[in-house]
Amino acid sequence: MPPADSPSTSVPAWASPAIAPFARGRLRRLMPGLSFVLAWIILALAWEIGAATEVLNPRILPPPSVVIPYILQGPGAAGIGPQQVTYGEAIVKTLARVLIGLILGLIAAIPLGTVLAVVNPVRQLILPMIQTIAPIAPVAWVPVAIALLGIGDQSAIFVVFMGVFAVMTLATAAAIENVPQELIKTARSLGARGHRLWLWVVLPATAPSLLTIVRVNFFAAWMAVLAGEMAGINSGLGALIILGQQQFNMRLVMTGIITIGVLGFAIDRLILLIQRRLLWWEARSKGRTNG
Amino acid sequence: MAELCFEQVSKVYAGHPAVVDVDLTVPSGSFTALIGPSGCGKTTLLEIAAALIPATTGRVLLGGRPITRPGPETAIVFQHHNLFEWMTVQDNVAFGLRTQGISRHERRLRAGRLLADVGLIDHAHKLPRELSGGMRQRVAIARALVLNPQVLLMDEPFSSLDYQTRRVMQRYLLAMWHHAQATVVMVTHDLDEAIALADQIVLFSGSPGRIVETIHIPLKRPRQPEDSRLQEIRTHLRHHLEKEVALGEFTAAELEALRREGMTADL
Repeated sequence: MPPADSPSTSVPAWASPAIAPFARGRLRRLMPGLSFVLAWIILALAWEIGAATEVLNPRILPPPSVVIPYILQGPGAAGIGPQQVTYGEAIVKTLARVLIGLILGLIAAIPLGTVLAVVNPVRQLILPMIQTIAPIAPVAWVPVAIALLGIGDQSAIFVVFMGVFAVMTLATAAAIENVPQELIKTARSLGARGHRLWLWVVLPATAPSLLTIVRVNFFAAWMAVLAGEMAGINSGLGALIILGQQQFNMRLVMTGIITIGVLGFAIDRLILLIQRRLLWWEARSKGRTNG
Repeated sequence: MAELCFEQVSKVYAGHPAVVDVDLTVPSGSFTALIGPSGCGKTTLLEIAAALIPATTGRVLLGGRPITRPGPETAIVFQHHNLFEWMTVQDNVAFGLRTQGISRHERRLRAGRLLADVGLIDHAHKLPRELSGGMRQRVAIARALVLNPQVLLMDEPFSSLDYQTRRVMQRYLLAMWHHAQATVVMVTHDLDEAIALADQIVLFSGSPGRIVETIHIPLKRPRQPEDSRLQEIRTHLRHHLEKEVALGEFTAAELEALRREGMTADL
């Protein structure tokens, strides 16, 4: 038996007696990744068994043994005529919309948020407006977007933009206001002024919050574009799912759902990686304290 | 080195006077401690002297010339170290040189030399968060001294440190001060700190802050805390501070009640 006071790790108690200390250490390091894979395998197995025993209706929830080969073979073109959507095209369209909407949102939000934080009269005037726009669900803009811009990419980008712009503006203003006054005063007393003060002190001091804002709002943008694509912008991954529904092609629906999940997860990890690279000073000291 | 002179300095924040009519001369190269209850505007005075905020009336002169904007002549250190988390110790220390447009090569050289002088060279490439509290504050002081300021302003620089570290830091500061030859003004709540370090101690009353007394301590440093001449000053300071704190803390009725109970005999 392992000692009662052994540090609680993710190694299950039943596994430890059998494993040599060396292997146990290695296992411990791999555990977060392993447990993640394990959880998916368990879910897929349960699903598979559920479908095989007809506890789950396999026509509504086609099991992984059906969906995974379907994805790998590349779901062919679905839909008819101008509504035709291919799998690869749908992914590219959705990703491009999210990316462009998010970047436009950032380009608008960071300067406006900065002005809101710094110029009080503008703040009095504009802040309530932004605060009113922020709680509007992005999908609510879909009818407006379609009426204004049609059912193309512009509409989707508009919806993403409206979904993230106001929240990012507020968060940028908050990030700048949260920079300690004393830090600014210290920098000023050391001779920093104007654009140097912003570039050398305010920007790096707000960078952690700004990157978190991007990461959180990527999710918002991702949700917004999918909702938009389902609610009338008839292309992209969201539309693919609706198409699957209309044709009662549940394999296509599951394909859409899994793709959304996997892509969302992968991009979030990518942003996290970029965040760690850019905020090297935070990553480094974390490494030190752990090592 | 130059004399620092406050002339009739007052500061009003949104109708509330923070400091009123401060006239104070800090002789060139001397060490002055400002003591008073919280919220008596001592920090405000330092920030005015550093030209970080403007005085409502009055002015501050350095060597006869009014201070109008932050410059390399004055440096300020706060209670919190305010180090730039995203820079190494060496880059933090070199920050003042960078704003002056000094080349990277020379910045490295000068920051390195200063760090070697103060014994922090082994930590030059560490990040602020990898240092201890006392070490961070030493880096903050080194950063303030990199431009060889004539005046060093310190706002309770050691108050967030534990007692022993604070004592060590005070000795360290004395050494640095001899080295840097600057005129020092330090705000502190620690009476022992003021007595151990200062040439003159300036007592402030509470809101609005004004000077009530200036005490000169013509004793050599380092000083022995047990010195009988210091005991007298310490008692005097303690009475002043407790009286001011009581005035700020209690209402007139409470003070009257305390007096009836004989609790205010030494206030």
